[in-house]
Amino acid sequence: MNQQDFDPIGWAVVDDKARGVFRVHRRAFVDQNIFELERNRIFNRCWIYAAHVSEVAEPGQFISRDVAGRALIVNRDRDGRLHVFFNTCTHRGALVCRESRGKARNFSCPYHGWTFADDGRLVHQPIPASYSPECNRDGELNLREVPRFDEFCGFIFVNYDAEAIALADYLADAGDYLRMASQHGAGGAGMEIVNGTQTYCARANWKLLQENSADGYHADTTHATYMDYIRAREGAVLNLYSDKGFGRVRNLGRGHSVSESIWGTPWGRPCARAMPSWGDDIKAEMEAVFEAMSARIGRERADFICHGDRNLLIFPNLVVNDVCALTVRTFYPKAPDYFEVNAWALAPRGESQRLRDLRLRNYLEFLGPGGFATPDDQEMLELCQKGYQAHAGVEWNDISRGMLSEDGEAPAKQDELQMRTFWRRWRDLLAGQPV
Amino acid sequence: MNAPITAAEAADLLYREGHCLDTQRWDDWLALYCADAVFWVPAWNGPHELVDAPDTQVSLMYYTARAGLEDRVWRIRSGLSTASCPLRRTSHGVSCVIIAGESPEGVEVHASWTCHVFDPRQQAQHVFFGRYEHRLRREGAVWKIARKKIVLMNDRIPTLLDFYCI
Repeated sequence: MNQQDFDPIGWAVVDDKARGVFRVHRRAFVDQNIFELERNRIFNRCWIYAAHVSEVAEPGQFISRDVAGRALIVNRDRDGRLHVFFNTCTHRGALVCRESRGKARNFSCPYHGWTFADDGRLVHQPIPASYSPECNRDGELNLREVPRFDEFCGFIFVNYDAEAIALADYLADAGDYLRMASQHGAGGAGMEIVNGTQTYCARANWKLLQENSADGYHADTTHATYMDYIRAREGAVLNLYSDKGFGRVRNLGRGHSVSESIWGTPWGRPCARAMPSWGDDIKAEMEAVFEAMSARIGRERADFICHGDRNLLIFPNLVVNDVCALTVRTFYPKAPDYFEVNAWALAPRGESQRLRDLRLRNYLEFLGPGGFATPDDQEMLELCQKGYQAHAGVEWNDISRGMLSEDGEAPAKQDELQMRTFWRRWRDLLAGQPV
Repeated sequence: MNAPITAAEAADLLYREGHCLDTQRWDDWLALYCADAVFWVPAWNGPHELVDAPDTQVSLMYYTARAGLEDRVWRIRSGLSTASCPLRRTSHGVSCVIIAGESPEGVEVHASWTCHVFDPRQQAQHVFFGRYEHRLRREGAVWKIARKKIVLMNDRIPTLLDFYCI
């Protein structure tokens, strides 16, 4: 047994700023011990996205889903208060909620009939006379809330560590980017998750998806068919964009990062950057959206939101891609070489039917398991994972691009600063540093 | 107006579609569709609830003209889509074909389907399965597909979804 079998952390990342060399050991993608450490030191301690407030807007509304390996209920009780419960009966453990969404005043366990009110109180046990009055005196048999949950600009996060720092502090400079994602639309009526979930998986390590989701370097190769397709359809307009634009990556603190640009990408945006093929009518409507947003949040910020693209990475597993549509994507590993993704479309509440239709077409064209781009990403991640079978022979991934200039004004969008930001945080948390 | 089509004739058209996909005869497959054909794979909204409006809810795939399907064929043929070279090997099975109704727009044909999918690169396989809802319309002497809704029952999608896998 060599040194590496005893210490799976300290050697995994080479971060040599002086030489401009950044390397990640491929064993970080395949090792079962590292996988267990990630669950304990990252997913059990970091703030994890669970739901959007629009999914539980009304009193009584609930959703249930797995979040970082736990079955949860997110609901709003009859008095309008938000709750996040572990979806498990305090009696013998069965799920008390088997629907993925709906409205309920109570959650009743199908096993023995224990029933919990929408605020979590245990309100009914069959044959109550058989129980001592002491049985739930301190509420210990009520539905259990997760140790921490909080909302930021409509995004609901949970934390399985009661000692966690406040969500707003955790988000650091990424918070303002989440706020931007909540400011779309003419009306200022907030955002909503559009009905319909895309669920997919890959035989690859979850960190590959985090790397890929804001990778400005891969677009012209991995997504060649999509780029060719858009160029063929939209023609010379693309050259105009590249003259006006800029692109950069930013370290947003605490492992979060963004890859962003203005006018730098060839696709249209439903908020609010029309493509020639969309026609003049829709262009006029989008300009009206832009004017309304300018009036509400200021022209400079509206320009940034509407005409820019942002791939936002919130450590460890939330991606908010505001590109050809706005998508919220979260993922969780079931094994070192297998992860599952839930992806949703986020859209301005009250958006016109015509813009919503266009948004969804643009969404499907690029994003999701049946789009023109995501399948190529998915395939790429699996190819990488397959390559890591040879990690004993070819040990290191190189993530050095742009490293010598990463502390400068504006690292380029094709740089790999966002990945180094992720890996540095990953390294520190795995080594046991506080979140 | 549509002259009646028998269940056997409808089934034959659906079988031929599966054969075209499994043998990668893309032009023959496209020729089965009307120019204004709708091709729709809705996403799920709950255990037994599909999204019901592709213009306001998220789908898995949605095209409102055969041109959209032609784009997908172009993508496969370009050789530049990693997800499409090599293509998965597929084998469709179509069963339980019934005439479900008729309207001025065409004849509604419902069926069950499976598609065995083998990924030669990963040496991995899975089976997609679900229901088809075809609307067939007569164009001249032949029946064509005016609308196809594909209900994908197992929607936790391994790696990718493409028109030839479902």
